[in-house]
This record gives sequence, structure tokens and C-alpha cells, in this order.
Amino acid sequence: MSASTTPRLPRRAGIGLKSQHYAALLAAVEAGTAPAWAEIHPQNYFGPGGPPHRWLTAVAEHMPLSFHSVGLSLGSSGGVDRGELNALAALCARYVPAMVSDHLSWSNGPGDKFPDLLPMPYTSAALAHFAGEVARVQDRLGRTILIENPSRYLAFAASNWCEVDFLHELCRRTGCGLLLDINNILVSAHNLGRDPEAWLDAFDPRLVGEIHVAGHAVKPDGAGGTIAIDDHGSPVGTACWTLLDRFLRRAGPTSVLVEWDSDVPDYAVLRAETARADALIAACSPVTADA
Amino acid sequence: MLERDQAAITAAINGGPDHLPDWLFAGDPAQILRGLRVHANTISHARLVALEETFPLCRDLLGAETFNRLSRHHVETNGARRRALADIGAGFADWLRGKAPPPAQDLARIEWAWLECYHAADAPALTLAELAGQSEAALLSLPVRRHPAARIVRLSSDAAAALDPALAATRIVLLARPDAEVRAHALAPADAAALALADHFVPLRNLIALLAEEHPGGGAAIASLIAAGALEMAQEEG
Repeated sequence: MSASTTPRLPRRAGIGLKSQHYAALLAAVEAGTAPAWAEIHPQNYFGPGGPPHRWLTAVAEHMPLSFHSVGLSLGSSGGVDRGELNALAALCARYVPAMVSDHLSWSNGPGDKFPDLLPMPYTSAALAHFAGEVARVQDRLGRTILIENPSRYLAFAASNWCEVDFLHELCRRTGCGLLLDINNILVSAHNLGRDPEAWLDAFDPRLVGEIHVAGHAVKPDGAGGTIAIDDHGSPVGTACWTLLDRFLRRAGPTSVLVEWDSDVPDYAVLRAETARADALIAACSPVTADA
Repeated sequence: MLERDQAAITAAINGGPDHLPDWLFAGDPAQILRGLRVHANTISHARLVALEETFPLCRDLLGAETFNRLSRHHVETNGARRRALADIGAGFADWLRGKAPPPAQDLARIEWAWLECYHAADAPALTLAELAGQSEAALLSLPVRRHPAARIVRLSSDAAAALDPALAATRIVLLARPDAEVRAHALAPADAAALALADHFVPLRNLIALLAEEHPGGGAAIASLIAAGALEMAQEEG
């Protein structure tokens, strides 16, 4: 479904574009040290004009973009947010991003628009509903999208699919791909008492179009245990780097984004994290990947 | 089933864990409450931070505690729960009437207009240089209208001083973004009337005539509006 003019996302590390880093990133472009691609939250560019579009236009002249949406609310029982979808479609037409993604989650209720990615039950009915909404979005955008595995703090009693099978079947039904968030696996595994390596190993690498890595917080839960919070507010943790390496050795070179959304550091710190991701991508030779 | 599940989660987030049915989630009840609390905190925090970032001057004036209390009240009672974070401050300034001192309401009004100005559609602003060399007839018949980023804010206090000490005495502020940067200017009532007249394309002579009658500086005041980037002219087709 992708238009032939759509650029491809390089199988290298990308950077999450932050407004405080616009000038530094363009300076890096001039110096030849910029990352291979950049990711934005399209919701930050839904305004018709102004400085955000000036900067994004300048960045887009030099590198492919990935649009990581947080507002479609694909899992809402009332269906995808039509206003968000129309705005996303307009932005895609304006910038022609290499990739578009959103989450296996919901955010909108009849009287609420929650600024959070709320969990879905993994049932056949939920799968059918979610697949229908993914198809609606793909039809509207004229391209396939990626769906990200969520950070989980809760498990539904009614779930009768495991998350990875649910996502694989979603891909089979809709043709969408997966945005594999390795940090989310670590958060979910911590909170639900699962083995993160087994969770990661269950993913079919052929379906993964992009990977996210990030830091998370682990805090006391008030009951003698701890809870992992997906806050994207610290360097990528050792466990996350280890799992990234583990997956890349199985999958081969894949596009990797370092996410850092709160307490955002200087550009140089974030760039160093992407350089580390690039080193892991470079180290996973196709021979290893096929082994 | 999905609708029922999401209604239950919504009720628990908005009304507290007593609204959470025991059939919805698997696992230890304490862990379920812990997980629910993460989502509720994320939502509450994101909304409050969005309001703080939208209204930093208003928050400074009121103090963090009062601002946060009013923010929570705004979210719960003013329809803000239905809005995306980018729009969560819509209506906040008017809603503050009677709940906060007039300067706080004025600052909120300025800050919301500033945000609208910042994100407004781009358009080349009319410049004095473009008018130079035109014949008087051509100049007077030139169709102009208010620039899409220009916003007029009427104040009931000297709150604009918080934005720029030079604006302390003004009761009407123009926010304009002819290029990348939002700038604030003091307006006379006649300036504001002229810009209101220019909501749609009008010949420049109409604005000059209005200013000549009502502005202390006469028709020449049009130059200040143009220099501020408050007007655009009709672009030629093709």
C-alpha cells in the first residue's frame, strides 16, 4: 500500500526530535554527524503553521521521518479518533514520512480524551475490533502502519491470547507491521512477573519495522515490591541494550529509535545513545542474523 | 464487551478504585490498584503539566498551589477532559472569571492568544518596503486583511507588564508573528477597531480612513500596524 515515492526508514539508529534540539540537529547535519533519521509525535505538528513546521521542514530536507502517533486511540470501542486521523492524514500528505505508527491501546471514551495509552484485553472480539480500526487507518492513509506493543501494568481477566500472538494475528489480518518497543517488554515483564527474554524471543522479526529503546523508572510500590514505570526519562538501561543486541542478532539490521521524553538531556547525550544503538546494528551481520 | 471494559476503566480513573469491578483484571488486588494508580497518575500529571506549560505567567502570579487547584477544577468542570493536551487550555481564561484576580485572567488570556499566534497558519506579512514606490491610487486600493497569526487581547488590568514592562499601561495587546517570533505590541482602541475591520480583505484606504478619524496619531498609524506584521495583502493567483 505504500506509495512508491515514500522514502524508506534507514536500518540504522534514529533520534526522537525535540523542539529544544532543532538547532543542534541541523548543526549536526551541517557537520555530517547527524543520525540517519528522526521521529516525531505528529500531534505536536497538528497546528497549521508556525516555527514547529519551519523546523520540521528543514529537518525533513535532510533525513527521513517516522511519525509516531499517540492519539489515534485505535482500541477505543467507539473507533479511531476521526479528527486525529484526518489531521494525521494531512500531515502525512505534507511531509511523506517513511514510517507511521501508533499503539495497541485506547485513549478516548464518550466523555474523556485520556492523555495515556490504556490497555486492551487480548480477546478475539478485541482483536477483530482493533484489526478493523487498523484497516480503517491504513485505508485512509493509503499505506501500512506499525503497531507498538504497550507497557503494561494490568492484565485483563478475560484475555485468552498472549500479547505476541495477538499482535502477530493482527499483522496477518491487516498487513500492518510491528513497532517493537523493547523497553515496554521490560516494563511489562517486571510488572506482570514474566520472563522478558522469552517475551522478546516470541516476536517474529520479519514483522518488525522499527524498534524503540528507552529508560524506565523502578519505584517502590508501597507493598514491599517494586513497579516499573515507562517514563522515558533516563538513559537506556543495561537490560534494554542487552535485549536489543539479542533481537538484532536474530533479526539483522533494523531501524532503532532511542526515546527520551521527560527530563530531556542535551542533544549530545541523546546523540551518544543513538551512536550506541548504531554500533549494535552494525555489529549484527546478516550471517549472524540468519544463524 | 470492549465498551463495558472501557466504561469500567473510565469510571475507575475518574471516580477512584471503588468504581473498579472485581471481574475486570486478573491478579492480586493490591497489584491491580497499583497498576490503575499508574494510569490515573499519568493522566492527571499530563493534564496539569500541559496547563502549566500553557500558562506559565499565570501560574507564577497565582502560585503553584492555587494554580494547580484551579487547573484540577478546570479539568473536571470545564470540559477539558474531552480535549487533547494541545487544546486543554481552551476556555481557561474565561473560566477564571470570579475564581482568580483579574490580572491572572488577563495573563491567561494573553498566554492562550500567544499559543494561537505561535501555531497559526503562515503567511507573508505586508511590509512597508512593499508599499514603497506604489502610486497613491494603487496603495489606497490595496486589499489587505488581518494576518492569520495576529491576535488582539483586551485586558482589564496592567497584567501585560509581566510579558513586557514596556506594556504596563496598555489595555489592548497585539500579538503578531510576521516571521518566526511572536511579538507583543500595545494597541490603541482605534488600532483594534481597524484590525477588526480587516477580518476580511478590505482596501487599505478603509483602514486609513478609520484611523484618521479615531486614532490619536491619525491615518499614519497604519504604518505601525504594518510594521508590527499585523496585516497581509492578497496574494496573486498562480
